[in-house]
Amino acid sequence: MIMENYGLRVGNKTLLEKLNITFPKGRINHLLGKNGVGKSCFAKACGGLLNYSGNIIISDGLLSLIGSYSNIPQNLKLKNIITILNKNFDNNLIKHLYKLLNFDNIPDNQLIKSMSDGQKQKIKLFYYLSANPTIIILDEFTSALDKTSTLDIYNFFNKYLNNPRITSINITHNLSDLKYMDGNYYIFDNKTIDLIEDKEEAVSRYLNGGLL
Amino acid sequence: MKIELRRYINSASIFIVFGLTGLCFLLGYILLFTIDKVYEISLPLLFESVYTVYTQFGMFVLSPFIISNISSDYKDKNILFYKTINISPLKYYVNKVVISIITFSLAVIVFSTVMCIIYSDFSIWNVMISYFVNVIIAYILIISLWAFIFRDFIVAFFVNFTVWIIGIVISSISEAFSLFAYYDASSPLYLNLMDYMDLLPNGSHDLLSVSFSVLYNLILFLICIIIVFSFKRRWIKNGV
Repeated sequence: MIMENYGLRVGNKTLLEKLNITFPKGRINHLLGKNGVGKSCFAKACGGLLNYSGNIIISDGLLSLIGSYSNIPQNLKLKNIITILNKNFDNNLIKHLYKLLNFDNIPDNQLIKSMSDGQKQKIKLFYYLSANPTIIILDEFTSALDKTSTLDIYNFFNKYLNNPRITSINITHNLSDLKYMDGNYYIFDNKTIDLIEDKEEAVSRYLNGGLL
Repeated sequence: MKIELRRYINSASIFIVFGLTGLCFLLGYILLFTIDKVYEISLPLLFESVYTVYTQFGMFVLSPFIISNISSDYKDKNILFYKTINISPLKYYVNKVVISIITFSLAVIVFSTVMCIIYSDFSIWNVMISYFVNVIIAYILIISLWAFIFRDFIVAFFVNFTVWIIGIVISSISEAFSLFAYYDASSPLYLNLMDYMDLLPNGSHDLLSVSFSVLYNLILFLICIIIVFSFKRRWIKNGV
């Protein structure tokens, strides 16, 4: 995904200006930044939910936003979700994701609202990835999850996102994401996004609020 | 549509619909002897009173539940769920409206039938079902429209209430404006139905306006569809 002369304004606030950057396929692109810089707005703009200036060049395929603003109705059950997905998307991919997400331990007849946060996040992934997106933007996906669920999800991402067909951006505050999932590192600060070559440097810049 | 039905069943919303309908019937019964001081309650009187409850209090009694059907999706950020499976804003609105109309109509049919069984009299069953269902359709279309446009439950509720009051005020200016509060208890539709009931068993069918009500609702539906289409960008904005 290539951004050319990209700018983003929300209300009177300029979040990004004249940004030229590439998010390559086949590796998880971690995007770090302090609160309020506009990471979620950036994600929404990539998904066409907010207006932006400049160009976003993407190869063919669908873009999926998976964050706190893309939930599943809590009064559905896993079996309802499977029925909906089977009707709309490729059944082989659905079976593959079901297996990869290790759904055997999740009761399919239980309302989503009564499931654990980890199970809810897995069902969210299952649903949005069944559309077979080639660009996946995860927004604070692993925040507020317990350690076991997070490790489970890291394991899934490492298998699923390191795929030459997929461009993924992981917007995060959780430095464990960087520890358990190798990838590229970016810092969102001062109305721009910088690619940082080294993981330690990215962490250091993030902890120092974007300063070198 | 199946998704909405499934959500209704899973969340026991159907019981709320039947509860609200039962409340309207109960209010109709209670108001007869508390306000009208009628102690010998005939079936036409009971139906008159319940119909009055629907037309006078329907907007209050039904709107919180109907608004929450849509505003909860906004609040819980469920809109991308629908967008992912290519459900458009228009289809979303229509699905929400249709499922509410089906369930509320089913409830009113059940309660009306039970009343008719109790009184062993089905002579006005079809007339009353037609009138109840038409009111339900119109109110659900209007309430759902505000819920669709306004993300916040409270805002949708008060806009609905305000527009309803304005409609009544405009209609009170002249009978020519009665379409602004077509189902209100001050409208010719309501007054003619009361005349028909009072004249039973000799009430003339000329006093009934079922066909015109259907046409009215059809036009209302088209207006709502046009408004929803105009506000389609807002659907995503509200739900993200």
